[in-house]
Amino acid sequence: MTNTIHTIGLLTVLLFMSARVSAQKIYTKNGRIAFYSKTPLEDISADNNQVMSVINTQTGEVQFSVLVKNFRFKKALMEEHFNDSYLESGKYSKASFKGLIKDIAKVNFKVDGSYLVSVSGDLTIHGITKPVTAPCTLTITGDKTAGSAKFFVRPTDYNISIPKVVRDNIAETIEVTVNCNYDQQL
Amino acid sequence: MSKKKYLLLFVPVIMISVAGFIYSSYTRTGVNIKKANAEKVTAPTLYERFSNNTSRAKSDYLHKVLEVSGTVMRTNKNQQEQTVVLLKTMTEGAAVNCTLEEKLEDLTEGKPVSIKGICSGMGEGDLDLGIPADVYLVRCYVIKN
Repeated sequence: MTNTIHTIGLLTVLLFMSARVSAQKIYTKNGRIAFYSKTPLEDISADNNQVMSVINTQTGEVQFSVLVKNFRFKKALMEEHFNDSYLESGKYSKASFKGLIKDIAKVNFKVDGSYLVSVSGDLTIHGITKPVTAPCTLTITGDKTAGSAKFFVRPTDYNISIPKVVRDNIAETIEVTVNCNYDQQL
Repeated sequence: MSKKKYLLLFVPVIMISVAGFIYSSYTRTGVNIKKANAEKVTAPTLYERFSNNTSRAKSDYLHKVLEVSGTVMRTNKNQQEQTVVLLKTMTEGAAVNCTLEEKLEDLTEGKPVSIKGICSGMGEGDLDLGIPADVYLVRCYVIKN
């Protein structure tokens, strides 16, 4: 009887471990991207909690995709200006990033911990694609992986023109924060 | 009353009205979803419409307040601790993805529910990886469960 219980226990552990090892692609459809603009006149921030992101844990390939219209501001007027005048979300409805975690090999997805890695790739906003490199932290807790990163973008690099009248209200460089809990796997 | 006195009276009134209008425009927080009229549709129908004819679905549903009825596939919490309810569709792995404004703990898998929110369209999946896109509903409230 005791042996049977031990065998079942061992099989359960092995099954759990194999599930952890075999998940090559982890993804979420509810990640978060936020941006923050700070000027002496005004602080502006917005959140998007409908971010799709996938990481291939073997190759390090990573991608993000967001509907621009899902960025949420505190004030409706800011949201309207952001969508209609600056990002033109009717015309360029999605923003995306496709890249590579070059040092993915140093992340052991079977061992809990925080791993600092570097992500490089192409960021497409407002129909313009530019290369971006950013440090990223991958945190492994059990069978869960969370990713976070922070980097800066300049609206002018993506042909986003800010009218003169509000130019002093919007920073030349915008801080972008990414947080994703990769809660699903393939 | 002389013309000058009329002007002295009306100029401040007009200035205060303009300032009030600018202030209310600047600080307004958007449509009141709970009170807004909503078009009713089921989750499988909404998803099918976006999958089969995106441009038609956009003109019918995009950025409109909808009341979507369906069955709970799964719930989870996003990074800001908001409840996300995934409503079942006819496509495996795909959902109508609803982010709630209120905390709700009793939405269990398989439960029928009606959710009111703004449709923000179909996201992006990855066909190569077999990840279908979701249709998103934001600023949501549960109407019936």
